[in-house]
Amino acid sequence: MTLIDTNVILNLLHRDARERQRTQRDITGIRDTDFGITAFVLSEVCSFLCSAREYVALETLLLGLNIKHVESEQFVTAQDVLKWMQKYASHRPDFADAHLVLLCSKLPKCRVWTYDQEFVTQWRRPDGSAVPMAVKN
Amino acid sequence: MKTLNIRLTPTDAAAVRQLKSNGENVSEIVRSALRERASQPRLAPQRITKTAIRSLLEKIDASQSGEPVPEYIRLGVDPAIRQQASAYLRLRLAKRLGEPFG
Repeated sequence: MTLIDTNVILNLLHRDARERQRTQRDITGIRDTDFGITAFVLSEVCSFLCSAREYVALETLLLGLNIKHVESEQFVTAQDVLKWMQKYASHRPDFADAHLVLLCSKLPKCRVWTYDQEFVTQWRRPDGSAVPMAVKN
Repeated sequence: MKTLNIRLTPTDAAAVRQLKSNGENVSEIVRSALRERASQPRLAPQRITKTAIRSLLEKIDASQSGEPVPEYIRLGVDPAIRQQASAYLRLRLAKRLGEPFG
């Protein structure tokens, strides 16, 4: 599964086609198009959107790419996330990002699609390994 | 025989209690569900083609036609730079709460 982060969704919804070029190119190179989104990422995306039409656009994108809602409660608890956030408190990580890092340490063959550099340069999974990325940053 | 340790959400745990009170064999239900799922073929996800993504984004563009540009774009916030995105979300939250941002 490829877990999609907030910045990717917002980029795909960007009105300016020039801004979308990279994301548009990257998506055609992703092998695992079994896309997933967490409730925390979805909530974050909605915080950037304001109008009914933007919500329609988001819905169209989710349906068009068959992005499934990932039920994560059985894999990662809020307590797990908060423990990880304590370790990286100086970076002020967002809950949604911390949750993605932990989720891809629990789900097999799971990768994160994000353009946030901290997933590559700073953050590690609880076992110390790098976060598997769907796209090279 | 091997065992399987599964975390249960409160809803799952309630379902187990209900099944047990109905006299059902929960282990057999889980074993049956596992066998059923494993027997289903898993189709390999297809890559997204350039044409497919272009067509989808055109559809999305059309649905947003005439809409004002979202505030975060007007403010020059880049969601890929997490510090900028977080600051913007804090700003929005502060506005909602009617408190000064800082």
